[in-house]
Amino acid sequence: MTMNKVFKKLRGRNKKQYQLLAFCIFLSVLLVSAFSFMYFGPTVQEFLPEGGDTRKLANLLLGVTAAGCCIFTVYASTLFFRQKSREYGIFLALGEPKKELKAVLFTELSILCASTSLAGILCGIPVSYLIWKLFELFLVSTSRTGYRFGMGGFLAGILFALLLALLLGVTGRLFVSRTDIMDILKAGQKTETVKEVKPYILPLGVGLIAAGIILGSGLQIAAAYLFRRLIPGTNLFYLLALAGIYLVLLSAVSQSRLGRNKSKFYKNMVSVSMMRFSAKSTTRNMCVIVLMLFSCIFSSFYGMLYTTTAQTASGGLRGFALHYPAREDQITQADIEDTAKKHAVTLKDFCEGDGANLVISYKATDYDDGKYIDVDKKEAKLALFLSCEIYEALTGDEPDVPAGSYKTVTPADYKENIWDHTDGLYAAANPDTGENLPLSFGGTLTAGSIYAMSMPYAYVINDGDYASLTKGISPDYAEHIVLFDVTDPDSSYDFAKDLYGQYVSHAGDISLHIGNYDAWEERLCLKQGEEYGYSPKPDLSEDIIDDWKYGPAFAIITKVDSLQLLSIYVMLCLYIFIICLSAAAVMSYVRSVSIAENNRTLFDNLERLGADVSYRDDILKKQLSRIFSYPAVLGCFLGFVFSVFMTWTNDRRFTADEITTLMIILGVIVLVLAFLYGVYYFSRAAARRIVGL
Amino acid sequence: MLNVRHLNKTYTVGSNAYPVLKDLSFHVRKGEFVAVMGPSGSGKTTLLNCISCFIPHDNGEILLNGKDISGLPEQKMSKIRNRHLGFVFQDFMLLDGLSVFENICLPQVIAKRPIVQMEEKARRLCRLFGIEKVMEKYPAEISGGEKQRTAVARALMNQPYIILADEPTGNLDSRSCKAVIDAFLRAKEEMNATVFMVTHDSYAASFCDRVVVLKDGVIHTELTHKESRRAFMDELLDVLRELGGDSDDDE
Repeated sequence: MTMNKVFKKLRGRNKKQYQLLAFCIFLSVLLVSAFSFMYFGPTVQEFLPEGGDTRKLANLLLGVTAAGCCIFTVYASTLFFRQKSREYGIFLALGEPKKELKAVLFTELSILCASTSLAGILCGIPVSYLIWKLFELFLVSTSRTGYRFGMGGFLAGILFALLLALLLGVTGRLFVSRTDIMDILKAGQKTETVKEVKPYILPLGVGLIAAGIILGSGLQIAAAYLFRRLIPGTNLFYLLALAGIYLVLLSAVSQSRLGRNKSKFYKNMVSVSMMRFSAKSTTRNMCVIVLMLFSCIFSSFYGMLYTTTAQTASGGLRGFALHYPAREDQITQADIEDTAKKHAVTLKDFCEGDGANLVISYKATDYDDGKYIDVDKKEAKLALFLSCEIYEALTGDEPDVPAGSYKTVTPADYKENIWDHTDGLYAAANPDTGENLPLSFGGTLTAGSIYAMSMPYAYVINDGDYASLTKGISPDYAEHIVLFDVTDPDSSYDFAKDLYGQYVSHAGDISLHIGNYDAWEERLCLKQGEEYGYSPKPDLSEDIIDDWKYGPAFAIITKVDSLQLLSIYVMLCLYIFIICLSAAAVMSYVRSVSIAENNRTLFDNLERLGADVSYRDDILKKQLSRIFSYPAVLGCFLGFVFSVFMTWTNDRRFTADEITTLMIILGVIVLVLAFLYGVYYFSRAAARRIVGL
Repeated sequence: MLNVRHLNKTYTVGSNAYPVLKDLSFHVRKGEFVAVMGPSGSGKTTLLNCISCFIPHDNGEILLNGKDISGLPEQKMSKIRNRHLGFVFQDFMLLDGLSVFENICLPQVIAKRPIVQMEEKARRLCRLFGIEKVMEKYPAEISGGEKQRTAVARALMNQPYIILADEPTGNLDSRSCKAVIDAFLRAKEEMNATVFMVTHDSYAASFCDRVVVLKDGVIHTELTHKESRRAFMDELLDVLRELGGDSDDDE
């Protein structure tokens, strides 16, 4: 028999010690590699502009994923070392030098890391493919968005595995370097106590959680609308909720007093006492699990929000909308029909017409020096006006606007924000003749495609008023509008891209303006000898032109191209969800096993005192169910409440989509709880073995 | 064999200092079986941990076979623990993943001794302590007495200068306790082993050649086994009664 054989035998007998750590290393490397294979794959790399925000966000996500994975793997390693401590203590007492133990530990860790990392990296390939396919279920799939494997993912996976091995090596070194054998031999027996937890701690904790959420997410909005002021730093109120979580858990962990229900007190006495001995670390641990589950629920909420945004991004009136200066020599109806024929696409609801850009006087809200103020913007900018006749021709709806009034065009399901008001317009003027007409608000009309063509809104006025206001206006202010649909939008991507290319090639200088450009504002600036800030031209050579005043709004392109940003966001949410849930599961499991190991003597003593198996099992069950149920219920509840608050404070209402999202979140919560119950079941079985039940 | 001179040890908790061992000096001869007894808080376990160098002492000397083992570098201390000290703990400290035979072999495995002699010696010790029938079993499958006899056999594997035993009978019933004490006595008789045992058990201590009684960190008295074991035990009980209360100790 040699030392190698001894260690081999011990490894064989203590397989379970290695399994959890191996699983965590595998999961971490798998998550990071799967992400890297996607991120460094040609599809994502070609999508993301160099130096763009989305790329920065994706890099951040990679960093966050790696950090999260490192944290839960290192946490799991603490259990591994704790279980090893007794073994190593005996070796040291028998005279095995630390140097030898270090060598053995590092060899074991190296083999464990290398084998599980290799498995993680290899499994990362099919997993990244499956996750990508999952995205494609929600989003439109085209040849551009197909999964393509990136070799860079290998390098990232290997680098991460090396980082993880280094961290585990440092943790292992710290473990073996503890010089005092007594500490190692008694490592698992250290206990702590807490001061008496007063009865008011629980209600105080609940109050702080409620105050934190309400003030953190609602105060900003309330101050803006009620007092028209911006209060800085309201996010700090969330710290109150954090303190509240700690107090609630502390109370749940260690408060038990002999009240009216004596039988309950005596029934729970032993399990509560077990909690008390490690109350501080248990509470801290539970707090982290609550935050993990909160992040888990909130990330799935955000993921769902992005997905529904993708589904409704093209919720305009027509799938294809064009508007450009009427003087521009743009593609014609015949060009569009020819292109449709080429791509075997059938057009429907084709209509076109002209509108005019008139100078508007309107009331709006501005932000200045910490306050929201009402401003009167007299003859400040241009906005698109349509006559009733043209509006009806374009949309098929009869607007019915009396003389002297106007109707504001909004998208479907529109909720006014704090800045612009649908009834803010009070006069319109001809930019060339100066002819001014006071107008009164006559209501709103719904046509998302037209709303998107003008800022703050597009307006519809009476035919007579339109004629008088546009009399003598130069053609420079006229805009041509084209709207149509296709019978099968999902197969119209190639047609849309072809048409987009033709449109771009027809665009001349008069169409080359960025989104915020306004000819009237420019005129005013130049008149006053000032420089106009929105004069730069958009770069039409780019594949996707983000900021173009006259850019075509083709829903299918928006939907597909938004995949780049959306996939990153959804991936972010999905990854945060997986990491947080994994971390919560690993931490709960480690805590359960630690508690069982620390209380082994207590269970022996209970047996000596005559406690039968079912009594001891009941004690263990109560103890472990608290470890799981308190953080699970609190984390999921807070995640859901916060999601509801965020949804409401966003625009002070719940849309049908938002309600659907919240319902799905409830479903996710059920799944998370079911998953945690599975982990609890598994942990309880492990704990039962430890305490000899 | 073991010479302790002017040993001092103080525990500090916050700003309070608690002297546990005060200028303690005594000697254990080769082949002697010595017990340390005393009431709770007298410093018995601290003394053993200082001799084992598991905890550092403040000042004084611990001479093992004439050489001071205090303050040695880690590597040298490991060698001394392996070759010259044998340990027997109250809760056995056997590796659950190794069989009885393998646990006994462990000190020589660590020392990289030749396998044939090692296995022969381990078998001999198993026979000597009556555990040859459970040699292939694992710690979880044997009784407390068998576990402790395994620990004694393991402690003797490298023929140490001295066996340091911390409450070796503390977790055992009276029958197992006698079996473990017999193991120590056999080790003393047949291998001329030196045993230094901390115990609160007067019955176990009555088999020793000498008992050092501690009180408040100093040697209260030393009793030598001259007449019958029964008479020695009565003498021990008288001293303990005089000190007040039992000698239960877990410091």
